[in-house]
Amino acid sequence: MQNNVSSRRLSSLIIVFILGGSILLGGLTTVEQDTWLSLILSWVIFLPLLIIYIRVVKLHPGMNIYDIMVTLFGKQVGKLLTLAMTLYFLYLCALVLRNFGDFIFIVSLSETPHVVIMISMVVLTAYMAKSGFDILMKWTIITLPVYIFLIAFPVVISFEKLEFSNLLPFLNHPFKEIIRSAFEYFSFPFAEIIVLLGMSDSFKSIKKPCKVYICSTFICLVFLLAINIRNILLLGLPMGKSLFFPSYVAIRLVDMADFMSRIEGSVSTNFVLAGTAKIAVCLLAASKGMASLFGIGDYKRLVMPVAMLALALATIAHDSTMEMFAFLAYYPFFAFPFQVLIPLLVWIAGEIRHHRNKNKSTPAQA
Amino acid sequence: MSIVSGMAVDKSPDSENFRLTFELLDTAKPIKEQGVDNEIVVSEGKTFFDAARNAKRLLHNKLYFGHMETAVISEEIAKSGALAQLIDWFLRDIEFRETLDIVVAKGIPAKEIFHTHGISQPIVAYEIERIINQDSKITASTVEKHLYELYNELNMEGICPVLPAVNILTIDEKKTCQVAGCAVFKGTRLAGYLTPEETKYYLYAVDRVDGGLLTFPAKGNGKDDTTLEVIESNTKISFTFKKGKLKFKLEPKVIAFLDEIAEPLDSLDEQKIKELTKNAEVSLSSRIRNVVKKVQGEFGSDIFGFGNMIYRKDPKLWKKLREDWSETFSGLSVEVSSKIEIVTTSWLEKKGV
Repeated sequence: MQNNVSSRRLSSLIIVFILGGSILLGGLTTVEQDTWLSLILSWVIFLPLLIIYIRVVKLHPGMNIYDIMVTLFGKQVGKLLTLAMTLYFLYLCALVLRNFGDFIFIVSLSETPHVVIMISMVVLTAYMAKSGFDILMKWTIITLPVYIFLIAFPVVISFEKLEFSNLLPFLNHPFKEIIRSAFEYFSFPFAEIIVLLGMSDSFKSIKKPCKVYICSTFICLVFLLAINIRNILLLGLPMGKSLFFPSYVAIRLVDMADFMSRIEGSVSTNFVLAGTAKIAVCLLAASKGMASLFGIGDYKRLVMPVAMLALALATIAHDSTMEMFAFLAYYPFFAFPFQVLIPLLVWIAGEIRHHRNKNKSTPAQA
Repeated sequence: MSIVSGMAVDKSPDSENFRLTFELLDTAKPIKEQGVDNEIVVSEGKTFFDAARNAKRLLHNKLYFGHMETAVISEEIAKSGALAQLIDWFLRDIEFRETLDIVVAKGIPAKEIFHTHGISQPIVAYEIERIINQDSKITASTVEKHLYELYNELNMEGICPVLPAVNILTIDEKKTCQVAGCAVFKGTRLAGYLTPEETKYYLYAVDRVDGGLLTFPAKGNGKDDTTLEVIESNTKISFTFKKGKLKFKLEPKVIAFLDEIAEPLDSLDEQKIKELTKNAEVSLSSRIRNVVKKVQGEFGSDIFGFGNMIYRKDPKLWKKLREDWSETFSGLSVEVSSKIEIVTTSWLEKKGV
């Protein structure tokens, strides 16, 4: 059922997943107009890690990261690592949930309690996760055009308002700062693709994984650059930097001869669409982790409980929107073990094992 | 829901409070026969938001700001620096639009504006917004400044904001509002005004002209008697920094139609057109120069964004100049050389010799 994954679907899932949070935040970091440079750098730094991820999947066909860790490190260490990864995915899920909950809360439903907004999102995403990986991927094919529309539309409509000089002065920030901000983009959103390793048992039928992953993350890079530069050109810097949700405001500015204005009401719902895919993927990965942790065969039974956990976590994790945004600055450090250290460990152990097996008994393996 | 179309901000005359005057769209009366009418509500409070909420005391509905297009601030508010606080509220509150216009009431209490009579439509706030919005193409006599642009200018390096100014004109005992040039700010504080005429040349200096007219004396001196209709205008702004001396150069390039001339038509030959063009260029250059000098001398606030330009093109140089930019700006040498091209003499053909 889940073994038939086409590369087109997988790449649209990757794009939707990576852009999920960023399309809303439109991330301008401390390096302001040099952000685009950080973005490109972050992708370059991310590439080797991506190749490690791909290699890990390739070494262990038909297994997800949890199975791999248990096989490589034995039951005890393996389960411990599984717990760590699962908790990270769960937290990521809660963070995105909280993010979009805050967005709806601030932008439109400020008199509705936070929890109510998040419950409605959780129920939907749990249903999506429960439908399975395959359905999720099909769904992203439908939502991808909406993303492209969201990114391109304000640019096309407000083209004459774009102020290209907003990108000057070029390289006005110390290079150290630019690298630091590149690492921010590295951990959010690029390296979050680690979540997909939680369900890598589902895509063994991919023919050329390297091409699919690298191409789709490159497309993400292009979109992220477009979002970023658009926000700077449209809003200007002090404004773009001061806003929690610059992309939303970029759409608020759309005004075509009094005829096509105030469209954000109809457009803002689509931002949430972007979030749901990301939450669903995290939820799916976390449920699979839980299932592997407790030795439950069918992860689908765990989706709802895990969703409830994520909801509870989203409610208590941060006190306010400011705190949540302030935490994003520390996120790279927090995510580093899960995005880099553990995968690195798994990869090295996998390589050693692979070589030992090959040397010991090639015919037996075949 | 009471829909607010415009807001006027004054200081309360007898306390430290702010006094807000709201223009509401009157949706109770039948709209079909007489169109939408306006209704005026006044309230006071310690902060701007407080004042806005206090309006609820005399209203059945809460005020809704999503359709507000103009905020008029009084001179007193503009001079006090409270503008920053006002903008913060506008931007922070989700209801206000980033594209609303902020204007200064020149020489009158801001609330007076909404007690006038709009000529083309009864909602004064919308009338002002349309007048300003169309201005750069038709008359080039004021600036349009959206809320987010104002916020940017207040927070950018080396630039001071300019806001449109409005006042009241009485025609046959009927009061109506008119746009009267622009208000020059130094930081968040009002520094003075430019007349509509001066504003036009200011707009040439910052390359914000899309149309409008240019008048000049055909003979090179005396009264303006010739009119050009501007079709297109581009101003190249550049600077040089040599031996510690900073020099700016403005080069407006205007494409225009000749649309009104006091001299006999027969004389309009090639030679004459050349002479007219020459005189027009000289007059445009000197008028731009005068406005620059006035701003440098009287206000000392860099509304041309010269500092910002240095920051963008040469951030290292800007770091050195930044500290005492205000003085540097006042003594800055600015060279203006305009180029005008008269492409046609409109409906009337010139008489050849």
